[in-house]
Amino acid sequence: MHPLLGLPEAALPAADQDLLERLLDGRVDPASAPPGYGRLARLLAAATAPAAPEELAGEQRVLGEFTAVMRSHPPTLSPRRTPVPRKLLTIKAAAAALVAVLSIGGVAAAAGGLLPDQASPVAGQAVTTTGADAAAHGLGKAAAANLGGSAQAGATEGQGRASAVGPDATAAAKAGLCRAWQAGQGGDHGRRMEAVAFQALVDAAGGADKVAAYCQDVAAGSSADAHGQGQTSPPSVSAPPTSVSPPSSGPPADPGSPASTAPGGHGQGGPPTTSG
Amino acid sequence: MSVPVEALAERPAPDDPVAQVLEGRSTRAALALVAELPADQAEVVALRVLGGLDVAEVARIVGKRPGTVRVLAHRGLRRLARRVEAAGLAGL
Repeated sequence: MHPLLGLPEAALPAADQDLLERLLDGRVDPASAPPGYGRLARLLAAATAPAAPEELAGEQRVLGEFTAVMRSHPPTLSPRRTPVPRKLLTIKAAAAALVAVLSIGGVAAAAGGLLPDQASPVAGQAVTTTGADAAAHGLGKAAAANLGGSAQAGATEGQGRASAVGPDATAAAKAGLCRAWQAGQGGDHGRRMEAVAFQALVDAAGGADKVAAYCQDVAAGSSADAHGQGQTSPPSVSAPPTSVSPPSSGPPADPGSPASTAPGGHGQGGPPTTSG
Repeated sequence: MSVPVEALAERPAPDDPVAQVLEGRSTRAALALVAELPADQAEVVALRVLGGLDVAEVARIVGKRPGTVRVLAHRGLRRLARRVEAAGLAGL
């Protein structure tokens, strides 16, 4: 049964749905949870418990950012005309950043240099070449890795993967961070720059003024999803389009890219670097 | 060792996030398990559980209908439940 059809949930007994809602609300004591849900209740309790002292400071920082945003912007909605109040965008940005950070296998990575391995060479390239060119290469590699990674994730689901770390992590993190960033387009970027996760995004892009270019392909790939198209979007938000190489303009100077980005070459070599 | 016998029997591996969660010693591991969910489910579960937001609030944030949010959260939870149950069985 295809998950997008949304059929299975209708068959779920109302009592089970009620139990799930109470679990989500944290109203189920793990000790008295029904059979089959005790461990889930414990998991949810652990997720909301304060971080253990031995856990890294970076984790607490990210969690602290998240909960601080939650508390400082309680979603008590005033009746406005705007489709989504800005403070909700801020919360959404925090949530997306949290999910993105977690998806790379541990919040600790946020403490210093969030985006893993592949981001570093990208950031390095940004110094010597144009930022957009480097971003195109990075996205190409990340997208290619993501395709394989997504399939693998589906295949191994239920077999108990020990960790979320994988080749798709960079793409997922980048997509999530870029979406969170784009949620604030035209808004208060200054505030977003304070978040740990966004500092890492800026580092990976090679500078605050290069984030827009860095995220441009992600924007093209997921902007529709970011604004909510109901059930029409696929469950995974992490896949930017693999076609990062429109054959238009671009400097012909970089032959070093792998096969995935080589054909069209340097697709993003134009306007984005001037944005800011 | 002060670890209960049943905990030892259930423990699949020392560094497995499920084991850490079941021992109640790792917030990070619990969050990592949430993050293993498909992104849309993880986002909704994170907002519901970590943010303490109700369905309507989450729906506003993620730009989806409340019914969709509910379905995503339920799917995420059931997937998590299967995940932790499967890990426990594998350790027996």
